[in-house]
Amino acid sequence: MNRRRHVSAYIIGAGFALMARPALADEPAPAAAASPAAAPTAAPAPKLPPDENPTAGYIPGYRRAIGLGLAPSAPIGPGMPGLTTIPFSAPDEESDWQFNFKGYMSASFRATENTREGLIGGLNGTTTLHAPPRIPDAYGMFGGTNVTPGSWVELNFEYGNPIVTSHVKLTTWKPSSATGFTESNSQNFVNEAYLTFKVPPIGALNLNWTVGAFRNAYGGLGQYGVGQYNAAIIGEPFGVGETLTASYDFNDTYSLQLEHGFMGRLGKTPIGAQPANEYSASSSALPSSWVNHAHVGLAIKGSIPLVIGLHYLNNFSADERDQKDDPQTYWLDESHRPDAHLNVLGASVRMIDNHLGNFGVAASYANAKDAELLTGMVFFGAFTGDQMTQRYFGPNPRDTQGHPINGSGTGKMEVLGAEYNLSWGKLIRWPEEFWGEGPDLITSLFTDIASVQSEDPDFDHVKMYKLGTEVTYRFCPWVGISGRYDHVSPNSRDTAQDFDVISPKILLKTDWNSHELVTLSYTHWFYGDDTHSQFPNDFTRTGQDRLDSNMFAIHFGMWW
Amino acid sequence: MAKAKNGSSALATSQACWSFIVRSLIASESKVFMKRGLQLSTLLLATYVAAPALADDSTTPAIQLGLAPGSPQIGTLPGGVTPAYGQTSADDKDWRFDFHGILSMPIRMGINKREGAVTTEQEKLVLHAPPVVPDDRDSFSYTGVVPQPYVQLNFSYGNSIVTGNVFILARNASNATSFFDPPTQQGIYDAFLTFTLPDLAKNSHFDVNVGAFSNRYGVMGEYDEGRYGTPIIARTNGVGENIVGKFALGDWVLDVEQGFQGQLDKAPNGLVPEGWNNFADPQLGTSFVHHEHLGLGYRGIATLGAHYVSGWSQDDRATTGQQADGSINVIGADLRVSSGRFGYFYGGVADVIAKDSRTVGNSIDINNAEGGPGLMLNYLGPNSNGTGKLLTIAAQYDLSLARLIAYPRQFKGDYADIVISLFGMQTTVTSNEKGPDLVTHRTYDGTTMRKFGSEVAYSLLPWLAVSTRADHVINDTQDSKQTFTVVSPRVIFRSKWQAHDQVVLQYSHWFDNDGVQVRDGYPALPDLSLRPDKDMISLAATMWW
Repeated sequence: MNRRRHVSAYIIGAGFALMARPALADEPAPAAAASPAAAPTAAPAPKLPPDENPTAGYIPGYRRAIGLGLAPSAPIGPGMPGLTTIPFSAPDEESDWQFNFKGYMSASFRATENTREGLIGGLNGTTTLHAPPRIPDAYGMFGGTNVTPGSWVELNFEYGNPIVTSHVKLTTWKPSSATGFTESNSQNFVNEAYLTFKVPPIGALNLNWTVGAFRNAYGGLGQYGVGQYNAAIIGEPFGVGETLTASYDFNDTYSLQLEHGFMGRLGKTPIGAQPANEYSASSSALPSSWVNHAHVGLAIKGSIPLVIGLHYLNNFSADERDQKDDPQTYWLDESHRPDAHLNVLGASVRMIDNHLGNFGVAASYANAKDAELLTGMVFFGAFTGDQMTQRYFGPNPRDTQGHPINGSGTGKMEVLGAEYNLSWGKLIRWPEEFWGEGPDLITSLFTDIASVQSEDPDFDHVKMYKLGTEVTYRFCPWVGISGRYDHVSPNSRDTAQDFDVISPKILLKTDWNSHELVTLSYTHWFYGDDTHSQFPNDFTRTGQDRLDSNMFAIHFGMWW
Repeated sequence: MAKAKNGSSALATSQACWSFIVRSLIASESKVFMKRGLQLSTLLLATYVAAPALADDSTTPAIQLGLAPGSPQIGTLPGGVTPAYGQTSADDKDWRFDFHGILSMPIRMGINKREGAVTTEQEKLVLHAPPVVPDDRDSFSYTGVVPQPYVQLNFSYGNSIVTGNVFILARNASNATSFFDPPTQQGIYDAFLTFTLPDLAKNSHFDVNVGAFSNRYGVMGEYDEGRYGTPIIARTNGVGENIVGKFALGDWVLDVEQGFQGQLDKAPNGLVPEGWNNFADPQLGTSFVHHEHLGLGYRGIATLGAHYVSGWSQDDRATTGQQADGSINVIGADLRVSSGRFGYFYGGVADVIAKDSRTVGNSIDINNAEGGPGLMLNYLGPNSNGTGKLLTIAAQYDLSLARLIAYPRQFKGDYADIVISLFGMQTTVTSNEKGPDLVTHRTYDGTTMRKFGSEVAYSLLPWLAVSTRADHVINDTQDSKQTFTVVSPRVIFRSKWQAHDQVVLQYSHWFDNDGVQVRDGYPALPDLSLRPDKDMISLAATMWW
């Protein structure tokens, strides 16, 4: 008891000691105040400075304009952990912050033409027009050639200083004013939100750290993007997490590149959310997934820069929640859900733009086990394990006796992609510099090849490839012409699925190197007898949902 | 300059017209029957009314057959006295664009062990996102320890008197979701004007907010909602107005504040509550809230506040038959002390009286619980019809030791520091629902809930700090099974000593008693079959600007 009293006394005493002088900081010291008749030789006690700090930053106790409530602009939620970071809107001495607004917009008017069939009366054979087009080309499908891109709007708000920058991206693939119906999940709203840290160089070591909700891509074949076929060959982890990139310069020519990342999902589809379109058709039977990825590479600088990389990505889940069978996935008994894995090994070589052009080649090997359950990584254009299963591994696995077995998305895939883009204007003028400000002929060759081993006999030992070329001639600052040809062979076991695409285009711009492009194009598909589109579309050569052969398009794009 | 001159000359022309009209009207008044004068006045009046559109002819766009795509999809503004959209105002150089915001994106991994038999295709260890832990924002057990995704973009445009504010808010990032959850992408969340009126009267200052926005009272933090992220008096939401008046009286400042807000709509009868509409409830009436506040501040150091908030609905579409109109009334008081080197202190008390609040919507939130249904779910019980009382007291104290010790030397947070935070909250419930609930086995009436915690942070390098937070939560003082403790050591990375950014690597361990409840499902409700995760690892990136 005595000890308790002592402790209490100390606490109360300390409290009085602290409380005794809160408002006296700017008063004269007691000695000076209490000794008006002090000896003239006595030095006056130094006056204490006022206890003020208009730019206190994180230090508590210095807010002076206190109101009765919180401003509407203040964030909703608790204060920052640790209290060692400046709270929202607290004054500080920052000066080197900068706002940047970047973005990209592309909107495509695309109309495909077909004829009515199977009707009685005069309408039979009359022309029909469709939007969106009924073609075997949709984002991420193997049959997709990306001859006329769809719509995509991305607004990127950045704010930061030389060390740290915040990025918030608002995106949509379907601007509302042009829609026929409200498809809520077409508006991604805040799609990505992340911080990038650029650590000041430590000798020859450079470190960059990205943390938040964002996306990485490995095995891209283009100079600045994933390439003409719009699918990274190795993988694209996306979600919330971090990626640390280290670059160590051995000398002026060679540098070692190391990268590691870990990503997860913000949440899991809860029980009660039906797999309806407005919820992106996601099922509560799916576990929360994670991606662990590591990369090593060698960059060679010089007149012909090269980047060689080796890649490892592991998409996995270990989640026992909501193990209830989903009747919509009849091929899988989710009540006994296994842990799922998708391991990808890859290699890539890129020759970055120089007078010999830009060249990229990448290969990957994927080993999947029950990958149908996975989310969080795009592999070869398939956004989810479900898409990968439906498009490549097949939804109906069988044992060696031909009996149905539980689980799907199990199999192996090898993928190879290559792309070569050459500016003849740059090559011919070399060693003179040429930055596109004059007439130019640009040629591009590209291909993707894949093979599949699966437990679904309909998909096992299927090989597929597609290849194409595009030639573009720009003869004045605001106009150019282009022609593209693609051949697609999606199933080596049924060559009647093969098809060809030709697409002449007129390109309109405001200047040689302007940031916008308007493209007028006509595209024709030459289908095989069995050509059909991939999951989730089910267009075939016959019936009500027949594939369209002709497309007229105007594509508008700009970035800033 | 040309623009300004044109603007000035247009203004001068308008003023001349106005003077002439007044003179004409005076003349015509005395000569009522002089039709000529009256006709002239009428003609000039019409000219004057048309003048705003011609105020700056040099910037008037060329006449076109249609409307530009950027024009708003609204009718003419009432009164016709405001320049049309797109017209440059004469004082356009005073206007300024501002962009502020905050983002916080965490990766969170709840760690648990699989129950029962494990097959060869399964690991014993299971990983959950989001973590299965008792940290729902609207419940009393919320500690704010688990980092939540949050993005807010504040776009403002204005001059020294008026500012237009549009806020975009998201509690998710589509790129990282497992399913599209529309209510977490809240889009344009707030849209309002702020008028700053410093010279309305001597030694006074007025701010007026008009539009759709929220007010929060009883916030425990110095700049934010505090360690628990919970305004203990009330949060008001809706479209309406809020006037803040400050009157300087020597060292003292008198604060007077008032607001009135209502909801833009009501969930129509027949609407099926589903996820995409945030489980809208047609049984909620259109709800309103008015609130009045009085405060006395001393030299910016201490402010004592008294608060009254009243939310209610009186909507026959929601209350059928003899059902009573619902109301939630709050009386509160708080003291806020920013005592320099001695740190920051907040203490507050709130008394909530809810009567038939089942029909009151989220125009008023109490302890983050939205309207009457939120109170019923978290405090009063599902069979209380939203009738009961809450008495809440809360306090928070933050202190920088380096600042305290360094005084009278300057300390600007640019070397090592230890920051201590102590916080606590208690709510006592009186409810109409007397017995224990059959589903959750919770007793509501007479329950006292208590939580308290502490965080100690050591800022040791410009780019590094470490901290540990401990929270103890007693969900029912008479049922210790619902009690838990959570301890969270953290490593904090940032770009410099005084940074706006931080990346927090955190491990949390929950010491749960047997009866701790967590939520699951859509909508998320207590699920007694769930075994809460005991451990969590998270990495959260946060920055504001």
